[in-house]
Amino acid sequence: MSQLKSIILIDDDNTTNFLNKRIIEKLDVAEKILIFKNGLEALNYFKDLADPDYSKSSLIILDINMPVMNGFEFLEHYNGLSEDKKAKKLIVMLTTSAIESEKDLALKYRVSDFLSKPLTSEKIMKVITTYF
Amino acid sequence: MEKDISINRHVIENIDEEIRSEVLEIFLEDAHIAVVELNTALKSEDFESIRQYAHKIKGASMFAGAIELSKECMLLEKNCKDESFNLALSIQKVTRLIDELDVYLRENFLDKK
Repeated sequence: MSQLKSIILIDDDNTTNFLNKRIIEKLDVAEKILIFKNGLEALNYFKDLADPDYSKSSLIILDINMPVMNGFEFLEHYNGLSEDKKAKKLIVMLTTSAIESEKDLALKYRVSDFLSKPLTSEKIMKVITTYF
Repeated sequence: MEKDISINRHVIENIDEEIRSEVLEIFLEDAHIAVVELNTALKSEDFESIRQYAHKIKGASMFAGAIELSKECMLLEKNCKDESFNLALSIQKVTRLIDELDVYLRENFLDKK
């Protein structure tokens, strides 16, 4: 049985999403994998989440640089959502080059960890064993 | 290391063979779209879009072992708002490197089209 309800990938790059989805599928750690191309698409999904399932947790893997709504703008809006929409969800940021000031800002928005690109199965398993 | 366009083919060979072709096709398709967007942004002097597309190509090119392309995109991303930086020349180089990479990947890893 999968450990997580879902892993939610928020990244605008198709190659990254394709590879990351494949890595996660092979690990078989989540019931489903959702992909959103920018922060706004993801935010709309969370806003419309009508029937949250609290039995299992979800992991959000968030990119920083995206068009339409970037990672930090997403975090700002996500933070304003009601608690039931955010329950049992953990956010990690996936980045090529997070600078310290960005990390400080992200921590204020309850980002749990930072992963450097490219994502690997080892990095995902480390997050899962550490936080779930 | 391939000398002409600085490709680290080991990076490509390390991609799971089952999905390699699909990954490279997705990468090339996205890269060609991003180049069109870069040139459009250059014409309209939309520097923020140039930064975003350079960042996008930089990240994706790492999967294809395209070292020179990744380096040029890093320069473009970093300097695109600097007036002394030759944007047109840099975007021209990115365009050329992607075209060369397309030929290289099709000759070595993909069915020729």
